[in-house]
Amino acid sequence: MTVKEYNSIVDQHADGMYRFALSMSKDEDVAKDAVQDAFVKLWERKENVDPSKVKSYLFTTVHHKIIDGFRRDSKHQDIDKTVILESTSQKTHDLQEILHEALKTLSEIQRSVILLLDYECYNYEEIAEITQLSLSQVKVYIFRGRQKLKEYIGSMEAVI
Amino acid sequence: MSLEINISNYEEYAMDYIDGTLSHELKTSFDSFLILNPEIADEIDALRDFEKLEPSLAPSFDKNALKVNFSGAISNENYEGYLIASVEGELNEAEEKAVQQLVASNPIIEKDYSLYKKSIISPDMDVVYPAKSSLRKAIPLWQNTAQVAYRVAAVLIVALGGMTIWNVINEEMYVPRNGMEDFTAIEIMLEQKMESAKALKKEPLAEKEVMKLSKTSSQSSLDRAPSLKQISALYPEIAIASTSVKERTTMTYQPEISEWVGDDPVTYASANNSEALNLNQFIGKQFFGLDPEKTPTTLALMKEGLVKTISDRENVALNTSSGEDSDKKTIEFLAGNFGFKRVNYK
Repeated sequence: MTVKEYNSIVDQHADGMYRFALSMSKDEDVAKDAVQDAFVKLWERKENVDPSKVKSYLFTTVHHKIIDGFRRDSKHQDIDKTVILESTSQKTHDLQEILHEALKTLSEIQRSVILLLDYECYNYEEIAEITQLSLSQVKVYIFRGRQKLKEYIGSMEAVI
Repeated sequence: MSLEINISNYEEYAMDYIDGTLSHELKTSFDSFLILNPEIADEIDALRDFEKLEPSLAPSFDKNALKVNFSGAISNENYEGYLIASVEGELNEAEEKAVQQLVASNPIIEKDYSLYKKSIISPDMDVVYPAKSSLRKAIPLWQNTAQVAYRVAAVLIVALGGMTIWNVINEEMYVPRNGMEDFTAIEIMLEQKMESAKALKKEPLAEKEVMKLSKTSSQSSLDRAPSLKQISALYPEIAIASTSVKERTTMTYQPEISEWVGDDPVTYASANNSEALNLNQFIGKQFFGLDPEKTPTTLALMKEGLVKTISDRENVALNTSSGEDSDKKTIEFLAGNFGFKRVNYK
């Protein structure tokens, strides 16, 4: 991988990775760090990464970075719940805003697989590869996540 | 040797302590530790209370909720999996048709289907990585052919141009061009002759001739310089000095830079004609044989100059002139198969 090819990859994927990381973490600094780490690792391992799987490699790195961050930060769940309560009370009416609020009700893994599916249009097999889950696990996480989103939207529609 | 319970290892024994399964020795050690650490004692009490909770008070857990059926014919039990797969475009044609039939037949399922469709999240494309340039890496010189071309050209031009200017304005050793009359040698010889005449406090007729010749020489370009025959007719010793340049490989000449006034306007011209060129055009023409009209700018010169090579720059000759009645000083510079004239106006 030449520098030119690497820079082209930055241009192609940095924004998508950042949107994914930001939606996962809800923290700009965490998202930036995750994206930066992913590119640093890519450059360090540029000779070993299959060019056809660069995007998958980058999203895998970001996914693990964010998930590891959640696990390290034991207080995250409490913070997350607080945000949910505040956000719900705002009664946001825009569907996409509602969905982004609803994302906070999902577990990290559920959120990750749903975002990879919806943001990046990965198929179930690719998501399994990125998240290092089995195909069945991915299907279950997506099923549960989608159910929660549906329930959240339904409840919000009832409120509206 | 008894094991000491401390802040680093107490967690390992805490549950056994609460369950009462520690050995007497360890229990004694644990008790001692709790006496010294009352906050840990509170923690252990809280854990002991939790352990006392009746199983019936624990929240019930529906194991069926874990089961997800993604296979088999679509039914009331597994339809949600199919609805989700449908909105995500994961179904084949037959499955999709079955889902649509089910949705159309049941308003509740239709509502669910509608909500699942709405649950697809769109990325906000306005959100972009704020410091993308910091992720990029500088392209090394050897990977950027355009930069290589420009830099090589720039280095060539600077080196050659610098060499030319250096030769003109600095004290430097010049190698006279083969077969060319060495006017520098003549100037030096004339100067020496004048000085020796002054030393003798004589003002012979010959000195007037010298002055005349000197003036003629100093005003000359190559084609206007006095001939060796003219000079040697007056001063035989000069004829001895002005041997063929071929026999003299090097000589030194020092232009009198301090007498020069200003640099503007400066023009460059071919030694063989009076064509006025700017520096880029001059270098392009003389070093690379390029059409001056195509190389009026440095960029144009760099682009064109790359494909050319420089030849025959072994021999360099220099001549200067400054007329007493003229407002200009001229320097002629010859290198290999090219030459140029620089004119500085006072």
